[in-house]
Amino acid sequence: MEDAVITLRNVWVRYNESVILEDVSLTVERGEILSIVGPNGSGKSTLLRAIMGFKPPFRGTVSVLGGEPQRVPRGSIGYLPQKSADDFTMPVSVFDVVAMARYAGKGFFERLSGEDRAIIDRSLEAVEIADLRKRHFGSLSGGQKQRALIARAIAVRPKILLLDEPSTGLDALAQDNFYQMLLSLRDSMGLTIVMVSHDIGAVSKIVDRLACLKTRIHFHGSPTDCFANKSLADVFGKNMYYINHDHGHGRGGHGNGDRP
Amino acid sequence: MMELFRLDFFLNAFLTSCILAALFGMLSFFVVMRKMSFLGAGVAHTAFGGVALGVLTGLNPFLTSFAFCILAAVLIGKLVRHGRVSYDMGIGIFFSFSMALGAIFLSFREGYAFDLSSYLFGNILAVTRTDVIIALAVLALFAPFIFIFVHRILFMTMDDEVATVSGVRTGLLDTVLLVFLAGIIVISIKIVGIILVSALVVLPAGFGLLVSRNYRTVILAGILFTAAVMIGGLFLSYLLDTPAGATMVAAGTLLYFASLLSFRKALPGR
Repeated sequence: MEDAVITLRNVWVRYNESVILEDVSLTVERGEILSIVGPNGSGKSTLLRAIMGFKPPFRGTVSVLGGEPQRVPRGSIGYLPQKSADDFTMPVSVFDVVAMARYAGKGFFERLSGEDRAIIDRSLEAVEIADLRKRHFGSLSGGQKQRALIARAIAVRPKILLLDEPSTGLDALAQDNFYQMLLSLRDSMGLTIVMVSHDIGAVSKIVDRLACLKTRIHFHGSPTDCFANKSLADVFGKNMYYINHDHGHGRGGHGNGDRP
Repeated sequence: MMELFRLDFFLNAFLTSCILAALFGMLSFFVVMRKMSFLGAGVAHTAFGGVALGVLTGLNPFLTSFAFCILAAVLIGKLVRHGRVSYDMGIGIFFSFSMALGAIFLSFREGYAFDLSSYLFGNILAVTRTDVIIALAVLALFAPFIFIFVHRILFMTMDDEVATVSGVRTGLLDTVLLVFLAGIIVISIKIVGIILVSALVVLPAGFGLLVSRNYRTVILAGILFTAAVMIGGLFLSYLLDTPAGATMVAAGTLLYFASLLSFRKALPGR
């Protein structure tokens, strides 16, 4: 808690008349990888949008880097939205896509500096697609597109990386590589990563903590504790079946699994 | 043929066509990429209400239609942005509302000799030197705007929320783009008219996307395509003795389909 980067206190969010998030309290510490898991429609993406300030709560508070989400310095958050990568038909190269992140915070007449170009190159190297920089973005495979979009997210030099279903469309091997890449990004850039997923089994291998969400937080703690919490099976149904026993990277947590 | 340039109206129409080619070549790419093609048609039709208001009040119809178009474009943009309506719904509502207002305004001026078809299909005889200067002024503002903000517009086009969280002022940028869309459509009405202008909003990018997968080349190709179509259409209309705006749009559409057949194998996998 002493080094909390994101804090949600008793947060309630609604769309129209439907309550999507109910009394959600959560902290994410610096350098932590947290995965928010839960079935479809459980409010996972809404939680990310509340953290970014796009969906302010009608009750409760959200604090990001010690302030309100809307007042967080631009570029502090890198974001990968949940979106089919096949939507992107724009005539841009991989380099152009990542360069967008560097232009985002620039003044009117500023162009890309040598440092910007170096950051773009390093971002592409970090996600291991430096050799694809000149390729048309639309011609990449699903996994390569995800990597390019991650490169764009980290090219703003964020402190926090928010990923919404980042492994969508990746096969098992590509998913494994992808998660390993996230671990190395966290370690090399000191990132705090919050990742939404419905695949508890895959993410539980790499995350420090899991938050199981279905409108309310039903569990927040280490993947090992999550698996031991039998009552969650009722809430998450078949998803629990896939929890893997291999939780090698867990840091422990503060589960409140007694609140189904 | 060169003697045509001694005619004031032709020279004005020629110069305005050149400027509009650059304007639509750039605008079209962003409109098509942002899936706002129908907005172009909707905003153009909204101009009809503005023209009729000008006729009714005695104000310059182009100023009143400019006000109508900006209001419609910005209002639709804001309503869509805040999730109140979808683009097609917002456009459908404003489009018909403004046309209805136009019909009502004109009914109040019964007996007034009003050349409706000039506004609907364009009339190059009406293009004045002032129109050339206004078009040039819009180009002088729009070209630097695109040059400075192209990457940021692309970013918000690709993903609005990611762009916002990364530092792009998406709301402001979107509004400015919509104001330019309205302005460019209004200044083109004298040449091609309210009904036909939507072709110029989509064809340049349509052509550009056939020939390249690099946005810079797509925009450049769009400008060259529009220049060829507008200037070629202008001369063709003189030779064939046909309406200039309609000739430009018909020529542009035919050229686009001819290009579609020629280029479809050049860029496989599309």
